[in-house]
Amino acid sequence: MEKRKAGMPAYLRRQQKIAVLFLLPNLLGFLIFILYPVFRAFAISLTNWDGFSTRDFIGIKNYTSLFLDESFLISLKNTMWYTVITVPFSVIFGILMALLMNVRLPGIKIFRTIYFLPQVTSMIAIGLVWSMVLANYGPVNQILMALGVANPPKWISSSTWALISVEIVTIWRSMGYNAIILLAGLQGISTELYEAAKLDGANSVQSFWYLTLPMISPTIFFCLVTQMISSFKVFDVIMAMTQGGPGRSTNVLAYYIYNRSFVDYRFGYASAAAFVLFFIILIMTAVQFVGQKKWVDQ
Amino acid sequence: MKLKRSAAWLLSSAMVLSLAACGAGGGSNAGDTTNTSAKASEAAGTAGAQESKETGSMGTAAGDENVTINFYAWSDEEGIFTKLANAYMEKHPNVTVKMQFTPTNDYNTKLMTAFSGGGDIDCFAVGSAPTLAQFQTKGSIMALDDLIQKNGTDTSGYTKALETLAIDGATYALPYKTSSWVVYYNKDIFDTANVPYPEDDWTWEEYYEVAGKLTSGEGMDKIYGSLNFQPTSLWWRVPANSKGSTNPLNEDELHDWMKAAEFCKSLSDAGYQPLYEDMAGESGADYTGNFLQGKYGMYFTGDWGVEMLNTAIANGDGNVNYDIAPLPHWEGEEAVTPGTPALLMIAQNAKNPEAAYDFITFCAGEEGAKLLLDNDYFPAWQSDETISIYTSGKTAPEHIEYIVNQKIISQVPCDEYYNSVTNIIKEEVSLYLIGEQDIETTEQKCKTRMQDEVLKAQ
Repeated sequence: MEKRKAGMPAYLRRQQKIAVLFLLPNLLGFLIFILYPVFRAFAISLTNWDGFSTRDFIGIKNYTSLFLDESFLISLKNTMWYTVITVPFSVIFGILMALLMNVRLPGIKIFRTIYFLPQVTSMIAIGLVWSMVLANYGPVNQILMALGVANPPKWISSSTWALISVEIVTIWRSMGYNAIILLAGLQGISTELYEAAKLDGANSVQSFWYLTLPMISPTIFFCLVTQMISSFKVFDVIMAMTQGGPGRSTNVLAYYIYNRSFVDYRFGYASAAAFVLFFIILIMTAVQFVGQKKWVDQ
Repeated sequence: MKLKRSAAWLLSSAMVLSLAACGAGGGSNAGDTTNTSAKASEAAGTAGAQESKETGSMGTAAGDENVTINFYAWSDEEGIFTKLANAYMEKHPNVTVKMQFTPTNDYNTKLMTAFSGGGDIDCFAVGSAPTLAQFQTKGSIMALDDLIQKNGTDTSGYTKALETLAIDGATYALPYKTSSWVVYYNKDIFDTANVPYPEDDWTWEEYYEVAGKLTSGEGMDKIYGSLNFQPTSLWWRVPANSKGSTNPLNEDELHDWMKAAEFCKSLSDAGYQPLYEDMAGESGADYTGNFLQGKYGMYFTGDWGVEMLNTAIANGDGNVNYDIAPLPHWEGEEAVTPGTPALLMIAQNAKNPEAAYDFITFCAGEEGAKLLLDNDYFPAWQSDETISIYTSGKTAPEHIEYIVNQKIISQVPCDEYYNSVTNIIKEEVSLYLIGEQDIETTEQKCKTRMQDEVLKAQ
């Protein structure tokens, strides 16, 4: 590195300084509003701070008690389960939607807007509407009963189905967003490639499998990573639909952290939980980056 | 492509980091100022007394100097406090009351940030006693005894309330309004079923029987004898409150809460009220609206129901011929009703404690009480005069006096862990109410979780 820098022509070195200058506003914001609070939060996680007064250093006690805390483990499990379901489905449906939207039809832009709408709609409104849709005597169950299902699920009022209901809403909400991003990827594929594949006798399934998918794999990877991170951080849909219930069946980590801090006023403990969540996401993201070498087209 | 990959790394690590920052955002921000606010409160502890001696000689309301009082309350109280503040400012032209209202759900968070962020806050309102206890343990509110003594404040209107709200013998808050629970009933449904209206003195067992008699019909036309609330609320505990069991941290009282849950579920099981599992998604439900549909015979709720029903009826949002009855009691127990005094207190590091004190005594005292009464509120200040104002001139409901002439006890204890443990109880009892867990397991789990997650965890 040193050698290369030394050998850099003078005009490049000058430019480098200017580049740093341009980056500075953003970098400062990052340092002050993100990096610094992160370090402070870590410091708080080693204390028993209640948000107001006493703040004694208690070492890693918060971390050890977390793993004996049944409610924490339940919310960890729920978060994992939520991620495992929502991430793949919202991306798969996103791909299918993107394929459907990638046709030149009059009025297709209106549909693209419609599919994107859930992403920009208030979660409170979405939660309210879906609670009505999934109510025990709501439209979904009435359709199911008309189709001959004698005992349709009690979507949000049973521990068995509540998390699934929330997952359905999340998938519905995020697939449109993924579809728009994937659509951009699809439109970046040159039509010549498809023509060449056609000449070589590939049918549409083959050209999707061997041409489209590899070509959009970087975009798929991007969707997977961002989707996974946001699903670990899920809070709004839980708050709007179930408040973690029935019982603790939809209690997720972010909701758990919220309750520990703003109901129990145990900020030290809540910060520790936030850091556990942080490391889980860090590790999962790192795993994805290592794994991508095997399948993402570089 | 290499560039792309490192860009992706950067982007996602920024996202991951922002999570941790969010998790602690409010906290760490607040952390910066704990020291200063702790110092400030220490200082106020000593200097506050001094200061009050000095200003005390000037009389109340800080003389003629221009003063600004910063007052916080939750948004439901916006209407009444705007009126109170206007009336106060009219009498004290040198005083400006700056008010800040926050949506109910975010209010506690807002107060916390105001306190730890050193925001300008002189006095504020809270809805219940546990919140008072929380602020008291954290040393962020001022003991009022000195101020009461020095100003010779008349507290005769709420002596009993002050007794139950005292912490270690000291007064930290003045109640400005209270509540009491009553039963609201639809007279037409009683008439149709040919059931006599509830009497002055009745029991929960009778409530159950009456609910059964009022229930009729099927499907969409079904008339329920009783109206219930979503399982994640704490409505089901009110029958326990009616025998004085308010603090579930006490094992006997927790047991009474379980009995109350059993009672409420039995009404649903008998078909006298909707099933709890069908109410699960009703977090934003409007129960007044449900009652106004005329499909429910009775329900119990606080005195605020009167204002809600009367307003809705006046706006043409429905019409029900209703009246109220006292809250039932258990067989062989004394008839009492729970009430939640809402409180006014002064921040330990208030800039104008004297002026703030004068303002809160105005709101909580006789003058404020009359204004509250004019707006159909139930003032904590009780005198023969306020009781007669409360009842006179009101045509609906006919027996409005039940709101004020019941024996009122505090519904929530001055216990700082109350909110944390009721959160646990809500989770466990909601499972019982929707039929996923039996009552013995529920009680046991409440006990162990209260120990593990709240008491031992501190």
